[in-house]
Amino acid sequence: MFKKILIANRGEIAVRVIRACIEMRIATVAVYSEADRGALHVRMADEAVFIGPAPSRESYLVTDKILGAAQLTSADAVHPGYGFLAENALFASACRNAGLTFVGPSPNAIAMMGSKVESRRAALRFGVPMVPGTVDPVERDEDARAIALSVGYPIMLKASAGGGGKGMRLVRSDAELTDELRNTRAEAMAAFGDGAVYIEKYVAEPRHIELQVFADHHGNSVYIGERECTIQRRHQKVIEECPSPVMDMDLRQRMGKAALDVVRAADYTNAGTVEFLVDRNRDFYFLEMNTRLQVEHAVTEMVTGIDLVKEQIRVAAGEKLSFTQKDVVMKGAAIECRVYAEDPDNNFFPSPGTIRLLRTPSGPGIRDDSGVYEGWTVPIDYDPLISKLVAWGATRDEAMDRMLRALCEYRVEGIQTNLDFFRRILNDADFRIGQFDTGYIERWMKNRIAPKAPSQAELDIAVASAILADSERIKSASERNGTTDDAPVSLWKTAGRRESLRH
Amino acid sequence: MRYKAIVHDKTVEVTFERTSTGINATIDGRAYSMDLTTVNPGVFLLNWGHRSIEVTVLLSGELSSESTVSIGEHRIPVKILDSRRRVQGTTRSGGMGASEIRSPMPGKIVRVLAVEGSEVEERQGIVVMEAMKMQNEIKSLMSGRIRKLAVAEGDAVQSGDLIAIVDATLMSE
Repeated sequence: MFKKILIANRGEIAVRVIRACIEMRIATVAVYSEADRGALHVRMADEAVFIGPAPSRESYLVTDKILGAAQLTSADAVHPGYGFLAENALFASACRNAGLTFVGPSPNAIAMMGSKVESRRAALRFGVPMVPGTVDPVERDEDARAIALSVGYPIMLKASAGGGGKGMRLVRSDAELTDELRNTRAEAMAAFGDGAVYIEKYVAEPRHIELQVFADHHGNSVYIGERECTIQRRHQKVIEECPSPVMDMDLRQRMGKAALDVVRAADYTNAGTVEFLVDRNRDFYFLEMNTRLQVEHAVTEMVTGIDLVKEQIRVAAGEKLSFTQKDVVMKGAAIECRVYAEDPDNNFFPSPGTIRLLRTPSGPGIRDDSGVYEGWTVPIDYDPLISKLVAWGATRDEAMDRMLRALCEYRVEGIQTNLDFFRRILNDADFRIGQFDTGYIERWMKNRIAPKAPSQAELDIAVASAILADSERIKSASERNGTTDDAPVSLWKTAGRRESLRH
Repeated sequence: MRYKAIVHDKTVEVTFERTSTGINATIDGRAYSMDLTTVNPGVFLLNWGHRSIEVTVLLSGELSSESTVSIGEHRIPVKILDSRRRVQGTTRSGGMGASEIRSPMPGKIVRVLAVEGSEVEERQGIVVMEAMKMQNEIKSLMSGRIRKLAVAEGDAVQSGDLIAIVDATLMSE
């Protein structure tokens, strides 16, 4: 087993990995930028190495600085977390060349699954269901027209180099095709420097469901249940749950088998996630594979009892998977809310700043994977995710009720958060019965009712409290002023007296 | 002590006194008698007719008389107009019933939506600011007249830089 692991990340995910290392008695090395000198992951690690200015391209994204830190501290493995360098094949092979174990898949698997065209081609070879359309970029308009007619309108035009919802267009009829092809190519060229475009059939009211997979270096591979990730805003996941409310044993087994086919196609090792679209008829289509731990991995951990991060470390060290497919048993339901420093009432504008008061929820079924503390200043330089709040219950209803209770316990002052946004979603009738598709948040934002206005008594008590705080502050300021001259002296005197009494 | 305060755009008359176990306050004639436990500076546990109410008061700045009071799921901005601090001579630069709008983070002013001297409504946008790759409106916290507009299109601003000063329209005056 490894003696010391460097965590090439920051925030709550670095904290999550450090916790796994502590449990495994592995020493930890944190890296930090200028903005993160006092960050929680730095406070928790055994060693910490400064790697440069706040912008991530000058610190967390610089391979040489990370490898230098590993060398300096004699770490023997690197855990990339997610984001930053986690899905960078060059980084994975640079670790290998420097004699470090990269806790994740091989550089080849990362590169193959990182390419939309390559990954689709590989999955197709193993017969994994895919949204009807083309794998290769479409060059000529006539070819595009023929393909569009054969899969049937509406279709999606997608940039081959695209991602994150950019370079995608919906085409409803043949009449729009020529113009939209031109627009998508231009947009793809401008955004990614590559005008290649492919065609997919448009899937109406889709759900976004992903399968957690794991494979070791001894030929064993398993799927560890699914995660429902349909609740998204601008293609960013907001709430995730396990299991999916639409899943049954048969569909899970079929999707699990398809996910393991993708694992074989990529000759994949370590933890990975295979993403699928599921349509109204519960037909599923391969989207892509994420070659890393996911933000939402905790819901799977809560329902299966498997510690995915510790398993990642064991598998990277060459051990066999510690469980088999039949050992994977799902119990109850878990939901995760991504707590962000942002203002939902102001278009989700990021709200970094100093956390003046923090009280985190606890109690039955609650897990708060946080990367912050009271007094910490959430930097403006990174994704303002402050915590992942997870609730487990024996049933989906109980998990939701616990989440709602935990959201009410959660107090963060000094910065805006999306906690109240989650409280309102968790009370929404459609969410409660699990009826939603990827357009849910946008529709909800349009139709949402304004939050309840404070009552007269609440307004009055707020005024009284403001005056109270003001008078307390003036009082404590004048007390401080009155005693500054003699207080330290007298303390020294008393200390001196105690010393002399002792001897 | 007698105070005036602005809460939700409305000026209220307040009497306030500490008792041995809590506070007595009247707001526009409505009387409240509450037990008080101070949990932390600015964090109070009040007991009002057996109702347990936790409030958090965050002051906008070191010498500010503006604060945000969290009570239940509500965040209520309160501004104290008459308090001892003025008697002590630490007057606010904003003056009576004025609100300073400051940049919440570093960014760039991409559009100015209001002009100096014009009337604005509560939550009306004053400028559009770009920060962290997103554009967003910086809004007035109260209805009133823009006394000063401190930025122009294209200006780079730092966190805390003055954007505008708005003089409140006071309903009771």
